[in-house]
Amino acid sequence: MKKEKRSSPDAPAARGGWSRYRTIVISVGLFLVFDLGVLILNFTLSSQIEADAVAVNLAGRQRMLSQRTVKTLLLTQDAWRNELDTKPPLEELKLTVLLFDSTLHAFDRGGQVTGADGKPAMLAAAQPGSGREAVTQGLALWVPYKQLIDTAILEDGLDGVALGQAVDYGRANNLALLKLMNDLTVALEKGAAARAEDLRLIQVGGISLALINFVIILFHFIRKLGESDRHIEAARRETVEILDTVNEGLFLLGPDGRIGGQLSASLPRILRRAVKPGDDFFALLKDMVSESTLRTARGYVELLFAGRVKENLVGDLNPLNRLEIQVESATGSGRETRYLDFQINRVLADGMISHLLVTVSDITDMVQLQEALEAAKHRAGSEVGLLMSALSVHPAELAGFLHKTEAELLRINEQLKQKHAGPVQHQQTVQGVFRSIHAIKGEAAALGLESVELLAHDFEQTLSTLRERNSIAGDDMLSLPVHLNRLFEHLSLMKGIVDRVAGLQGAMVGAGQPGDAGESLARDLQKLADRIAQVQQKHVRVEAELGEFARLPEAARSVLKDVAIQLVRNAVYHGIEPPNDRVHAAKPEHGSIRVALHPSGTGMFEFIVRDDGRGLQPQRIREALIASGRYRLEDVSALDERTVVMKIFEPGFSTASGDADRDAGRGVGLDVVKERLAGLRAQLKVATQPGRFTEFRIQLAA
Amino acid sequence: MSGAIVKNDMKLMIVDDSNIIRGRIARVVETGKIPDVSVVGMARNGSEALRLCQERQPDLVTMDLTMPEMDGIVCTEGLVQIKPDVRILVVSALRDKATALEALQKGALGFVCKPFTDDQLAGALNELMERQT
Repeated sequence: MKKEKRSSPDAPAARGGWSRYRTIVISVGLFLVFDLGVLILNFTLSSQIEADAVAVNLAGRQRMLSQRTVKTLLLTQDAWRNELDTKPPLEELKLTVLLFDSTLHAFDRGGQVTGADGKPAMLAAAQPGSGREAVTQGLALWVPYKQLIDTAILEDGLDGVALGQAVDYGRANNLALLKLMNDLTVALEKGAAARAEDLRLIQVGGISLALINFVIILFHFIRKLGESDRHIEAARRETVEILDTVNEGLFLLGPDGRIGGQLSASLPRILRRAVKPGDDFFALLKDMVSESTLRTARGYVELLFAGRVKENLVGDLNPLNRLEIQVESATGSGRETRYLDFQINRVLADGMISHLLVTVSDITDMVQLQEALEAAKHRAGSEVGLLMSALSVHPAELAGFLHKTEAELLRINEQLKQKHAGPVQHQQTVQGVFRSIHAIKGEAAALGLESVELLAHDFEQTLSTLRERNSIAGDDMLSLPVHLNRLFEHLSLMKGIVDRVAGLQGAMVGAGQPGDAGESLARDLQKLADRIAQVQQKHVRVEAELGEFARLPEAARSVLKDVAIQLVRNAVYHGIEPPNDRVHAAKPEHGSIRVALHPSGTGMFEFIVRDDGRGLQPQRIREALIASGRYRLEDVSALDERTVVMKIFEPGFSTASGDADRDAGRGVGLDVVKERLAGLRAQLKVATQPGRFTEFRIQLAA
Repeated sequence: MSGAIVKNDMKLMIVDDSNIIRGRIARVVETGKIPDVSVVGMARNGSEALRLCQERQPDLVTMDLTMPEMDGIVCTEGLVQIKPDVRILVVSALRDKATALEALQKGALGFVCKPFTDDQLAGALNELMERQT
């Protein structure tokens, strides 16, 4: 059985998840590192540049304050000399000195000062190379300057001498102090400009790295996509190549019952009709199969999609394997029968049934070959069987049987050809044909010609069905010539074999000697008894005393042979008990049938067939008569035992239960015996004792 | 495995009106081709099977389809109601695929066609128990 098919993932996807995404993870990581680095540096430098701007601004203010200090000092001295109000210039002087002093010290050690906007601002200590020298030199000039100014300003006025000294000091050092504050401003501006340059460089570098990273990612993915596209394209080409060249019709069937997007080129050729992707599969089948097969196919497909059942355990239920369809012949000369096989398998994707894979093959050649082989095998078997059975029969007897049976079949043929007026005549014909065929069956069985016996049995069953009908119409008779023909053909085949064997035998050992008629009959009867006994699981021995048989005329021999066959058959089937029953009845396990022919007076013979079985049982015969529907209970009850026993010679009588087999239960046999003996003007007597024996005695003239 | 031998851990009920087939299936089980399975009951028709199922609680069932009194399809439906996890294998002659399909739609899980060989039946029962065969 085919296993469920799993769709295989493509090769790159089969690798681990990490290696598949490594490049993108590294790229994104680098991108984040670059961006974060730039951001941090940017933030740091921006803060420094901001601080630099404050410092540059305050250094510029120091330049201005140094000049205002001198100016307010001179204004204060001027007001003091002219005895004017000194308060306004003095207040400005104090404020200017305080601001200059605090700012210069903040440049020296770092600290908080009042900013240009009046709010507090932080200043870092000036660094060497960035104004440190100017601050140190500035402090050296400023500290004595401030001391002189502080000395000049008293709590309740001004010290004129100290004020004069301060003005003198200011005049002497003002330009130097201005230059130093200017140097400080220039140095700070340079530092700020350098940092701004650094910031630009970092930003440009960071963005460049990010761009390079982006470009690498882009190229990597374009390359991967290209590779992937090439894989997909190669796989697609392979699929197309397979679908174009494969002999089977292949397609995927979706849960909606539609044919998938790809199908093999062979499919329309195999189905002998146009098929395209998206077609309804069941609509396609509708033209090819019966309504019930279509329904079953739909159920089968649903069952496979449902997923509950085992796919391996339901393959036999696929109604589309070995599908017989009628199609236009490829040569365009009418219609022809083709055999298609639809294999349907599940396709799993991620453990779920996604589709069914349908594989359609044209198995016509295979089926035809199989049928031819079967037929050849059967023919060879039956011919060998026929030959073997023919070889086991004495040639003279076989020839006699074939000759006689052929004549009988011709007679039946004549009977069947007659135009019958109505059901009554049909009924009589059927009865007559039935007896003849039954007799042929009996003889064939006695000779061990099983194939003839089986054909006769089939014929007999058809006749039996007709016999049970109340009324037989002309049409009902139509099947009889078919059976008759079969028997004719079989006999002619047999005759051909016999002729060939006779020729062979003649060539090798000369003409055969006819055997003793009595011995031959004894052998046939034992063979018949053995065969029936085997089926019935009984043990039977035929004790034949037929030494006088050859002395009888041919006509009598023929009748007695038929009679012996029927009586021995009945004895084994009805008379002899199963071994267990016999043991319980204190009898030997082997039943005994005595067939004897003795002279009895002048020109007279007595033919005896006696078995030591259960005997004729009147009660069973009564039951059988009622069961046959031809007698009512009160009729049968009124009959005495002797009359009841004699009813076994009526046509259609049988005590065999259940279905008829080929050895008994047909209700023909004893009526044939009676009829044939009447033809010889022979007398028939029956003696029986229940549980002990049944004996038929026939008196006939030689 | 600790080495302990687990025997007869799956219970099989055989449902078939033919005593020959019932005997045949039981013999296949006895040959050891289907390990760890024991026959816990045999039923001649659907109604007998339903009674027996309640009493013996089988894990596996082999189910004939054509039987007197109650056929295999009605019986399959009934068994699944009584014991939803029961695994039913339809064992029937393949005259009518539609009927067998109906039994599978009612809850049976697999199908084996009569006549069958010992190996076919053993393989199907093992497959039904999801064993490698």
